[in-house]
Amino acid sequence: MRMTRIVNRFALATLVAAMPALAPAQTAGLSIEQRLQRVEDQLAIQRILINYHAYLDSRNIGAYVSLFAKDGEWVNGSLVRKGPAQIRELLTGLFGNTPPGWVNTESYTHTTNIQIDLHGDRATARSRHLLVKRGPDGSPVPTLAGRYEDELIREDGHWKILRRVDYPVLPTAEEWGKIMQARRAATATAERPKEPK
Amino acid sequence: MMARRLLLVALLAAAPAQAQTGLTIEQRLQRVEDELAIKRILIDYSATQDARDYAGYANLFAKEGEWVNGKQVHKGRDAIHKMLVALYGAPPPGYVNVESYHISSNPRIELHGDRATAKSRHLLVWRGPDGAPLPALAGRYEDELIREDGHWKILRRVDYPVMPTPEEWGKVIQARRAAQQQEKK
Amino acid sequence: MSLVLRAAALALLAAIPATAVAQSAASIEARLRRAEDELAIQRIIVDYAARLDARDYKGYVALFTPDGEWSNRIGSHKGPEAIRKMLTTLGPEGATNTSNYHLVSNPRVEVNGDRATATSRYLFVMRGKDGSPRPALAGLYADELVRQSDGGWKIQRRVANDVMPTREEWAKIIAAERAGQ
Repeated sequence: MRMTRIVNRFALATLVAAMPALAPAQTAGLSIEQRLQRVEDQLAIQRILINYHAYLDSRNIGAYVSLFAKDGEWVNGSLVRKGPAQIRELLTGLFGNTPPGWVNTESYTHTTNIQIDLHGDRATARSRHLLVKRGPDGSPVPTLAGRYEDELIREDGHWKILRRVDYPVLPTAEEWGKIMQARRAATATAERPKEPK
Repeated sequence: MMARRLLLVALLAAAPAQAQTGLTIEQRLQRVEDELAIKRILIDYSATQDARDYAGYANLFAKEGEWVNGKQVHKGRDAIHKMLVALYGAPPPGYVNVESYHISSNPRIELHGDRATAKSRHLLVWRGPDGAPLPALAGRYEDELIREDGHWKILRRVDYPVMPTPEEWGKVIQARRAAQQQEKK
Repeated sequence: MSLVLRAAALALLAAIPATAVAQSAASIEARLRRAEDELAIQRIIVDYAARLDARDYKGYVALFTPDGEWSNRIGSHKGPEAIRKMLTTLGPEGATNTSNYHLVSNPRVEVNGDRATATSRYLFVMRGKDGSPRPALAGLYADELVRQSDGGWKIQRRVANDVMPTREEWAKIIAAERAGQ
């Protein structure tokens, strides 16, 4: 058994030595299996970032919450939500209860510029998001552009978000607050006639 | 031993033909890694540009790397670094850019051993009235890349503006600067 | 180099018990193929936009299987001839197009053996008044893909679902623009 391991290591060393030009620095000394694992980890994490907006935009709150680790955190400025219960509350607070089969034709988010850095069972990721909303004539209007900075963890064999920090860029958090206030005021005015008198 | 080899042969024969037939597992893995590494460079480009990280940006280029837009050509990391300083000035320490950012999308990578080509698209989004993101410039990149000391680097990046055209863009920039000056007053 | 490599690979394999070889080689191969498949399908999604925007109709049609189908809420176009005919409404083949393009993003690929499904998002950006890019149409693609005998992938069915504006709103916008010109 021990002999096998030595032969094995020797063979691998020969294999690696045979292709110096092909081996980039970051994969030097890694086995094929380890290199493949890194590729799979990158694709899996990329997918999590994209699933995030798929679930958010379709208001699939259960699936959204499941993207986070047990102690997962969602952070935006001084707003911090930790653990599945708080994260779920954040979404139900924002969107209320969504009827099953509801299709969102009002907004969606482009997830782009994904950068992933792997550190074994931990990883960091940066990405950008552009929220596009339905404008007055139905045209898509870019409404909110921002960055995410994530920490991820491999939990029970699956990658999960340990901490996501949302950094709004355009508009700033203050400007966004004003826009939302104005929108709520406009909606309230529009809805007033419907109120029983 | 014989059985083992037979098993392996059977295993490989059973595998449906890949587009890159005749490649070893190692070579195929290398291609996947190369593609992911080059996609990352395209994203790092926008990240360093938007963060005004000029050294990081210049370091994405090969020693003889070139940046081209129309008749404008900047060759070598020093020249590329200078181009950024001329374009944006020196950012204050800890600078955070909340004025603009680039969406980098539609990457298409072609690998040729230690060389590669890449095409991608970029959309510059900047601060509009009330702070809302306003798409300002849409274009294409065509890149040649080279594996230099084991790392992929940009050997030549050509920026092709699509909307607006360079002429229109000049006018847009002038108008924006004038508006910003007005605001400051 | 390939001889040395082959010899090294053989030595490597010879050193591992037979069952382990079968398992690990199969799983490494299968895992690698999965990664390759995912990247290949992401590429098709991007190629689609590239060929459409470049008015490369031949290349566009070649992304579909012979029984491939493109559809949206209004109708469907099945087979190479029908798909090509649909494209010619955009203008002559190979025409230079600097007035619009598709930004595609958010690919989600599921591979099941020789079949796959994928969803992605598109933002159709048009030339605005001062030449500025103006997002005009935003939607979702849902694809079914099939592995070909050469190992590559083709689209058997693509459904384009416009989200903003709806088809009806879009027709109004276009009509208003034409009236304004």
